[in-house]
Amino acid sequence: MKATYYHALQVNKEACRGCMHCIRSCPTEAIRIRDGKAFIYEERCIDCGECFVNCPVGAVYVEQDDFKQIQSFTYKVALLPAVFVGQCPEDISTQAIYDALKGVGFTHVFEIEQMADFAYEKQHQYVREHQEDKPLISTFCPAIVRLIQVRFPGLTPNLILQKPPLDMSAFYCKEELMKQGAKEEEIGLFYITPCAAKIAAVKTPEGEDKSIITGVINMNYLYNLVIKKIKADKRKDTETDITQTNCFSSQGVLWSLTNGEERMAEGRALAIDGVHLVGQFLEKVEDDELSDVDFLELRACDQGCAGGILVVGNRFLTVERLKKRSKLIESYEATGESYVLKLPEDTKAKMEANLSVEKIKPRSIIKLDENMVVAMQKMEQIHVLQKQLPNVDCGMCGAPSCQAFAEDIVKENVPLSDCVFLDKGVASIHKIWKK
Amino acid sequence: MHFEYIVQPGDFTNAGYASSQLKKTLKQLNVDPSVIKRLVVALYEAEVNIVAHAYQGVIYADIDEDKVSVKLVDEGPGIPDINLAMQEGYSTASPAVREMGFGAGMGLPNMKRNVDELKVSSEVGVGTTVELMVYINQ
Repeated sequence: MKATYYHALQVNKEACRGCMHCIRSCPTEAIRIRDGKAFIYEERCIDCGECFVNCPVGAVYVEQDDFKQIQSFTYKVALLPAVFVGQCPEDISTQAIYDALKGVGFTHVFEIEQMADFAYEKQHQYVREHQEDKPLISTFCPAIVRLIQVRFPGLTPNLILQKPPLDMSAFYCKEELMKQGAKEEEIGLFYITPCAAKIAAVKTPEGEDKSIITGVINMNYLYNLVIKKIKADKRKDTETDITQTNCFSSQGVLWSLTNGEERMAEGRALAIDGVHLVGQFLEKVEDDELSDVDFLELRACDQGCAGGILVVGNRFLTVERLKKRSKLIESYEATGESYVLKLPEDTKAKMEANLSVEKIKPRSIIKLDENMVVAMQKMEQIHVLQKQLPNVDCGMCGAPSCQAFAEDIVKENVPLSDCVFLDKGVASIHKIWKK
Repeated sequence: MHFEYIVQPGDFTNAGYASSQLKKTLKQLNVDPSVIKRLVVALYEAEVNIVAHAYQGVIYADIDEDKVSVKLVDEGPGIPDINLAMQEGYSTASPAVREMGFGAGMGLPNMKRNVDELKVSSEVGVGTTVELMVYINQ
């Protein structure tokens, strides 16, 4: 029985020309070329977006919810990651962005990083209370959570079982709106996502049955609407009233960028970005080669969420703008002022009670079989096959490597004749295995 | 299933290769992660011991349905007093080796803690053989 996982990453079969860029870029070897088109194994895909980035013809796309759905709610809340503002050209003020978001249909705009300080506090507490599972690994990046589940099942106990700032923000907005008289069914909580992994995390969350988020709007789609609105309004202004649009600490605004969590962590902490580098590092963690690391911030994208596949602006410029915002906040923090969102005591208590998620289960794609004896037989078969294969990883069979091809033959019954190198005379599995 | 790995003494850049390879194999065989972890911790220690002390070394690993046994055979200085070496904090590692973060004298005691069976035999001036074993409970 195979569980179903929602994946926002899809292949446009018309556009796909069957080249091999995606199969080589995938960190979980989830993609094969079948009948000349890319095909994604859904239990292997972790929604990191490497295939999207590496496809030369744009054949990989990210599915999205219909934007019109926000109209079915009275309270239309945009849960906005700070990178949305960060990616916009500097001549557009934060206030102008907020106003444009309201102009295109939202009634409320809430920047998620406002929850960062609360999240830091809770994360520190969790790390202190779970010293036996060191190094504790942040669950902020859903692609990393999924990478660990499928490739490093032994490290799932190290995952921090707490909801990220997004879910905290959604909970807070809902509570506060209901205090003002809104009914639950009137509230639509929409996440403006910078990547595909966050969509998967909302549609099929790990550690809980259903997400609190109503729907997901892709950042690049909304970026177009917002810029169009700002141009249409001929709005030209600079940052003026910053007290409404900078309700976070100078550190909190940087949460989603690389080092955003590590910088604030207690004890020995490391930050690693880029899904392939994270994979290499996790091998070391699994080999138990490092000791006394308390906390790991791991992100699938280079530069963290600024490098998300749906972020329109250049990642380094996005980081720069957010750092400028951080400096601005620092300047008024230095005078003793602070506009950091104050959580009402009753809401805070409810959020704390609602913070944890259930155990995140491993789902290894590495194991050859559930049963060890069968797995050993399959491994022997793979070894025999590998000796016959050219081991040049040409990709013509549709698999990323000869090793992966040998595994496909044994696990998925892929025909040996897919290999262009093998002499058709010996290309019978039974002949090879008998040798 | 039987595997063999050659260990290059003095090559700290590749220390841990055998334990990493064996780990990958055991993951493919769906062995319980906690069992893999115990074995890898012990094997890594034993492997680094060869790299740090010996002149030549081979690792033989056998995976059966119910257990994994690993035998590490080296040609090296040998251990004059095994009982002493089993004590925490006892180390003969050279200062150069300690510089690299190894040689804290936790090797054998740490191995013993992590495996189900540990056997060490040694002859001074000839070499050392370490046998370790973990049970797999399916």
